[in-house]
Amino acid sequence: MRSSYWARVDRDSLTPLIGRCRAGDELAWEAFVRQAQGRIFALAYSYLNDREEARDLAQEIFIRLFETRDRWPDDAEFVPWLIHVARNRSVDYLRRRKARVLSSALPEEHFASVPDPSAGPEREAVFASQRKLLRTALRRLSAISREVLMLRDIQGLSVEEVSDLLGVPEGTVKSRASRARIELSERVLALSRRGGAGGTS
Amino acid sequence: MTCEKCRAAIVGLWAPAALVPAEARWHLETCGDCRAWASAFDEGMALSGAQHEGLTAGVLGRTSGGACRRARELMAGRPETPLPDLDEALVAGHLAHCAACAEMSSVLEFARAGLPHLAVLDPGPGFAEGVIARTSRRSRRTTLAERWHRIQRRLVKRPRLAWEVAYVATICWLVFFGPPVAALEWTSTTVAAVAREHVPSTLDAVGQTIGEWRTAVGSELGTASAVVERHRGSWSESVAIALQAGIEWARKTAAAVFDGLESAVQATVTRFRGFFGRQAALPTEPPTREARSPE
Repeated sequence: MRSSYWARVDRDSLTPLIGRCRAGDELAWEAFVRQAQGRIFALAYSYLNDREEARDLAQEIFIRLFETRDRWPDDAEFVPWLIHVARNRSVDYLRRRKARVLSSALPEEHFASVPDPSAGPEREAVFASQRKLLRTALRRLSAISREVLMLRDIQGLSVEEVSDLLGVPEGTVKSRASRARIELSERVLALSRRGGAGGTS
Repeated sequence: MTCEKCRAAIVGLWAPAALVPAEARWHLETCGDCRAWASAFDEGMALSGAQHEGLTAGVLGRTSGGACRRARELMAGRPETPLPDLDEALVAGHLAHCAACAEMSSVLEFARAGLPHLAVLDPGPGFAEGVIARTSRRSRRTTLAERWHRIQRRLVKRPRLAWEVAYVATICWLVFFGPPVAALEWTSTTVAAVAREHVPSTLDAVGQTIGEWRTAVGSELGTASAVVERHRGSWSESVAIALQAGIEWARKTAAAVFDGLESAVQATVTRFRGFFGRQAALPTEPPTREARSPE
């Protein structure tokens, strides 16, 4: 499996907290919330495209996690399960939201990714513009492509885990991921040519 | 040297005619046809890079088409399916001649490096505190009133609540007041009459089937009991007693099940007849316009 930087960091730092949270340790729960909030919020936002709603949904997801903490799976399965729960809640929320008027999404400038601690301030500025470009391109993808990239390339799940999560064969995950990357690259190229959101260098 | 061998020597070396062996050069001096052929071959060898590209594009256009799509698929699928050496070399060869795919390759690499950094997004100040406040409140027992309030809120938030209420209201209306239109009324009476005619007979048939099953099961259990009795001498006494007890238990259970089924069918038939006995006689045709219009 190709684990992303953040997936690796999360998995390593969440592992000692899982058992303590299951046992009802409030300090561990607080640490868990602080540790996982960025990931859960990013997932919720990827589905809802609305910052305020994603924030509300992320809170609901955490409350659901808290209520079911005695049933949390073991360490190795925890992060895929966490993403599974967040994804299902997001999809449910989207279904419910269809009947309501969508609130307007905030412009890209309002986003603040958590900075990579290994990068200096200058490199971080470059990374920030690259992230902005990628995020803009991602928002222009089809829902299916965006979801498979979110799970596979962003959250760093394995093909098998994505296959289980989406309920599709592994071959389908591979072909969807390949198509989505091409689609994303085309969007990035189009955006860079227009000079809308920074360059790819 | 023959013309054929001379030309094969030139093609085999893949070199201008000036570089071929002396024997072939001597043949070229004596053979006008081969000189003309070698001159044309030299011209082909002297094509510029751009002309070669044009030739390749022309050939591909008339044969397999461009290879860009295949190259992009392979490049984009690398994370799941690492490429064998040959495919890597083929893709590299394609990229060396295709600027668009080379650009796509660099963007794919850029995305591969950048996407993992989107896994985490700052939800803004106060998020964690909000979650912790809400979850620590939840750790105490919620009162009945709070739970009822929460259920109400969840119900009202349902997007299809209006549809569901309308659906239930329609069903209630039909049950208590009947269909509001005369034609529908005729339809429902007709359906009721057909049901009155066919449902009891169907239920009677079900009752008969249950009776047949009861007989068959009783007979099978009787046979089993007889077999046990016949072999009682050859088996140990305790085994025979246990088997007889099991058969007796099965007989009682089967009798109870069949009694229950028969009485359920009987009760359904009685209730059905009682219900439809109060209905009006079966109309044979839909009501005419005059019949439906008020007097």
